[in-house]
Parts: sequence; structure tokens; C-alpha cells
Amino acid sequence: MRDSSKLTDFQLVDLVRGGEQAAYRHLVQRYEGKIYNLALRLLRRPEDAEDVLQETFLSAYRALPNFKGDSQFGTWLYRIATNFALMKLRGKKPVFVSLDEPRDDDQPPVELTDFSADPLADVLDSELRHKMEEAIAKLPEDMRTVFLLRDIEGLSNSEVAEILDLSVAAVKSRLHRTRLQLRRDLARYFSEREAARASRAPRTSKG
Amino acid sequence: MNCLDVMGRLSDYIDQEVAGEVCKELEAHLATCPHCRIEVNTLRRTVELYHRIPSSHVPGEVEERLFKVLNLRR
Repeated sequence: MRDSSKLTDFQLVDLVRGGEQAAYRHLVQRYEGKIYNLALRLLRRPEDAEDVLQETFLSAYRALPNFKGDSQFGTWLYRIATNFALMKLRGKKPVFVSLDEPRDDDQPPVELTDFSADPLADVLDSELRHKMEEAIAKLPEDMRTVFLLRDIEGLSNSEVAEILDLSVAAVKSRLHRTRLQLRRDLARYFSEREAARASRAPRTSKG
Repeated sequence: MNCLDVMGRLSDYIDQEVAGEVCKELEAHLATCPHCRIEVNTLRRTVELYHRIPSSHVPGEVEERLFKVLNLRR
């Protein structure tokens, strides 16, 4: 019996096209977590993320005969999912803040606290994770989409450009500005955390 | 290369997309500028932290409904 879990995406796609519907299950299992998390972080409501999950895999299944294989299956799927999620998002909140215009919050660089010294595993506790998820949720839609695809899902600049119909230069520019904003939030958080710790520490008295 | 030049290339640098002479110049600046080193280190740390943020599992009942909609067996 063939072990389908070892087949590449392209091989599974070929099997589905050849009428082997069960092969689609492997593709779904391979990508459902990624698509669900992307949708959840874009839309925030679990029921909306579930809608996007279902719409994406249904639509991809129907469109599979037209899948040319010019891009990776994953990139193609992310494109479908992102489109569904953005349609849902824009249906609810039509305000679209474009990053191509300078904004008030693009402040000049401030003196940064160096929060890079502690081991990663020590700092990434549940409180920080919560803060980070909040910071993602607060990003404008265009920044959030680029950031999620590039830095959370780990796609390349050119894949993100393909998914969002942007130039690679536009992706890089949005990504950079988003990272700077998220760093500002983290720097603030670490400096407050440090101050709170210092105020709790017992004072040494002379004598 | 000055601090402003470095600022413009921060993301490219941590993504290892700055190469050749420009990379050498940038690193020479970093060696002498503590402010820019903090810029690089904290931006890199930001990306590392977000890269490690855990993802949610697809809840069992969500997967069940997905497979039902797709007419697939789990």
C-alpha cells in the first residue's frame, strides 16, 4: 500500500486530478492548520476562520483542474485563503489604510532598550505571547496580511508578492515598516516589564 | 555608510539579503556604532520571537465539519 503522506504536493494533486479523491485528504491535512491560523489571525473570530477554511478547500478542490503548477500548491492555496479572508474583512470594515502614504505613527527612531540579550525560551512566556497576538491584531489590514504571510507563515518575499498581487519592493517595504512597529511595541513592553520588576525588587538599605 | 543608510537596510540585512561590498560596509559601521547594533539586534529579536509564536490547532469539531463539507473521510 502506498504511503501518501510521503508524496509531494504535486504528486497528490495529480492523484486527485486522476480521480483519487482520497488524496485530497492528505493535502487538506497538510495545510488546514496553516490556513486556519492565518484566517484566525486575520479575522480573529473562530467562526469566520472556519468559514474561510471551508471556502478555501472547497474552492481549491473545484479549481484543481485549472491549477497550472506555475506556483507551489501551498502558495496557490494561501492566495485563495487570503482572498476569502480579505473579502470577509473588507465586507465588515471597509476602511483600508494604505501603507504607501506616510502616516502619523511613523515616528522618528527613538532610543531603544536592548531587549535582545535574554535567551528566547526564557522571555516567550504566555503574557508576552498574548501581547504579541494583540499587537498583530492591532495592525492595519495591509500590514497584517504581509506580516502574517512573510514572518509567521515563513513564505518568501516573492511568494507573498504573488499572493497579494504586489511588487516584491512593496512587500519588503510593508514588511519593514510592520517589523519596526512591532518592535516598538515589544520595546515598550520589555521596558515596562523591567520597570515593574525593579519596583518589586527589595530595596537595599544602608546600615 | 552612516546610521541612516543602515536604518534603510535593516530588514534586508537580517533577512540576509544584503550582499557583497554593501554588506561589508554595513558590518564595518555596526562594528563601530552601538546604536545601530541595538537596532539590528532588537529587530532580529522581534522577528525571531514572532517566528516562534505558537499556532493554534484546528479544533476537532472544526476539522470534522471541514471533512464533511468536502465529503472526505477523516
